[in-house]
Amino acid sequence: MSLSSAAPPPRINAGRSALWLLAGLTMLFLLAPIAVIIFVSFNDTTLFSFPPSRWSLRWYHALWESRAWREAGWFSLWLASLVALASLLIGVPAAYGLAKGRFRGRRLAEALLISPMVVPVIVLALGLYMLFSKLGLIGTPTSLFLAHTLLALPVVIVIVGAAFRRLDGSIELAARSCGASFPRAFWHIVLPAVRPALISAGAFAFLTSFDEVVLTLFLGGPRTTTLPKKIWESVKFELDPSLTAVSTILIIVSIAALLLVELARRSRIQRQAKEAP
Amino acid sequence: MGASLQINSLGKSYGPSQAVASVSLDIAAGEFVSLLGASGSGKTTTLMMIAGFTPPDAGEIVLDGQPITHLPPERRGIGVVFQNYALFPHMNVARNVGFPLKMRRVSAADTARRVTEALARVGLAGLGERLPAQLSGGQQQRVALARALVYEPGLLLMDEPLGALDRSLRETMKTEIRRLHRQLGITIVYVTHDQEEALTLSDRIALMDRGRIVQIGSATDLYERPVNAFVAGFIGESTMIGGKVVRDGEAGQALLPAAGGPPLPARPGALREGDTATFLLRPEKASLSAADAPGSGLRATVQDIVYVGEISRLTLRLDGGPELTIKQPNRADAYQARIGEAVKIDWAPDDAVLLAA
Repeated sequence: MSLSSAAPPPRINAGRSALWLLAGLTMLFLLAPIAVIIFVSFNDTTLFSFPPSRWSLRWYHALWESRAWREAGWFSLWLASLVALASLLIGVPAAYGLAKGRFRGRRLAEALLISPMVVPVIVLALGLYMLFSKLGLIGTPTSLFLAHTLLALPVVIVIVGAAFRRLDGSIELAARSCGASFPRAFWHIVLPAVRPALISAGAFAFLTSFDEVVLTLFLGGPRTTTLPKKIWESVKFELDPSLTAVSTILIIVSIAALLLVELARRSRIQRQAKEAP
Repeated sequence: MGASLQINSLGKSYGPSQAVASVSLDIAAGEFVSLLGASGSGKTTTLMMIAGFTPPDAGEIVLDGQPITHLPPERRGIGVVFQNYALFPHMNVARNVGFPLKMRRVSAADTARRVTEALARVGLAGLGERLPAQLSGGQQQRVALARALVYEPGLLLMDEPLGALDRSLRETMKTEIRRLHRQLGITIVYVTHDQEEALTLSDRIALMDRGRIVQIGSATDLYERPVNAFVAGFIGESTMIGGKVVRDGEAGQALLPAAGGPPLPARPGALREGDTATFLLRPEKASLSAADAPGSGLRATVQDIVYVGEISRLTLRLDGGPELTIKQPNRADAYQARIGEAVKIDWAPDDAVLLAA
C-alpha cells in the first residue's frame, strides 16, 4: 500500500512539465510572427534580417515622411471611426428590438442581420461588387463605408444583444415607474447599464473596418487606399521594411482597442463610486 | 397620503391562455392589500397592469378617482418595488434614489435633502455613495423602497419584495414594511405567494387562482371562514373530509363522512341537509383527552405523533371513520397521548366549517 502511494508524484511532475512545454510552444507559435515583425521594424538595414543588427526608428521615420502612407493611415482611421459610429447607431436599436421584442419574424430578422458574419467574405465581396457597379459606387469611399458597416453590424448586434439579454428587464420598468418616458429610460438607464458592451462593440466594429482587406480590394480604387490595402500593394511592388513598421502600428492600434475594452470593463465600478449624486 | 384604487373587470390573455380573467378590487386609501396566489395565478399580471407595464385587454383602473387604464407608467405616479430590487447598477445609491426626482425636474438642493431623508427613513443614512453591487440584498431592497417612496406616491406596488432574501432578513423587512405603511399612510398592493407574509402584513388579502380572485377579506376571514376548499387548502393547515350534511341536535349541523364513521359537528351554514359537502377543521381547534374522561367528544385512535417543538402534530383515526390531523401544544397541562392509544377528540362546532363540495 505504501509502495503504490509513493509512485505518483514524479509522474505528476512529468505531466506538468510536458503541459508547460506544450503551452510554451503554442504561445511561441502564436506570438512568433508578431514578435518578428516588431523586431524587424526597429532594424537599421534595408533587408529583412532577424535578429536586428542595429536598432533604429528609420522605418517609422520613413513612414511619417511618406505622404502616401500618411494618407492611408488617416483614411483608415476615419473610415473605421465612421463605421464604428454607424454600426452602433444602427446595431444598438436593432439589438434591443431583437433582445426584448416579441414580434413575428424576430428570429428571421436576427438571422438576416447576423448573416454577413456567416457568409464567406469573398462571396459578400462579389455580391457587393456587382451591386455597387450598378450603382456606380465602385472606387468611392462610400462603397467602403457601406461594405464595412455591413460587416461590423453583426459584431455590434451580437455583443450588445448579449448584454441586453443579460440585463435585468425590470430596471427599465423601474425607470418607467420612476417617471421616465421610454426614451429617457433608455438613455439614462438602459444604455449606461450596458456601457461596457457598447465600448466593446464599438472597438470591435472599429477593428473590423481597420483590418479589413478583402472588401477593400474588391470595392476600392485609387481614392480608397486603407492601411491594409497599402500594405498589400507594397508587398507586391516594393517590399521594404517600412511594412514591418506599419504592421507594428496596426498591432499597437489593435492592442489599444482591446485594452480600451478591458479598461471599460474594470474601471466601471471605481469610476462610478467616485461620482457625486 | 394614500390613494384609493378601483379595478373593474380587469382582463388579460396571452394567446389562448387567460392570465387574468375579470378581476375587480376596491381598495381604500391607506389600505394594505395582498394579492396572494401560486405562480400563474395572475397576481403579478394584475400588478403589472396596475403599474402600467402590461396593457389590459379589458376593464378599467381608477386611481384616486382618475381613470389611468391607458396612461403610460411614467405618468401614473405609482411607486413600484421589484423582487430583484431592480436598482440601476451604474448609479450610486443616492443617484438611484434621486432618479425619480431628476425625472420630475426637482432642484438639486431639494433632491439632495429629500434623498437624505428617504435614506434615513429606510435606515441607510450615510450609504449614498455606495454602488448597488456593494450592498447586501436587504440593503438593496431598502434602497429600492427609498427610491419608490422618495416622490411620495399615493400607491406603492410591491412584487414579491422579500422573495430574494433569506429567512431572518425577511422578518426584519416585514417589520420595516409595516412601520413604513403605518408612518406614511400610503396605500400598498403587495404580491406574494407566501401566505405568512400576506397574513401578517395585510389589512385584506385577495387570494387568486387561475386569473380570478377566489376570496377577498381579512386574514381572519380567509382562515376562519374560507369560502371553498381551495381557500381552506391554500391558507394554513386543515383536515378536509367529504360527506353529506345531516342535522345535529336542535339547530346544529354535522357532516356524515362518506367513508363512514360518526357525524362530525360543525357550524351551521348555508348548506341544507342532504347536500354533499366538505368538512373543514383546523388542526389547532381540536382538543384531546383520555378515552374515559367525562364530557363530549368522539372516540379515536392515535396513529402517529410528530414532535415539532412548540407543538406535536397527531394523526388520529376516528373509530370506524376517517383520519384527522390535530396540533397539541407541548405543555405539561395538555394531554400527552401515545401512539396506538385510544383517546377522545373534541372541538367546538363553531370552529368547524362546512364547505360546498
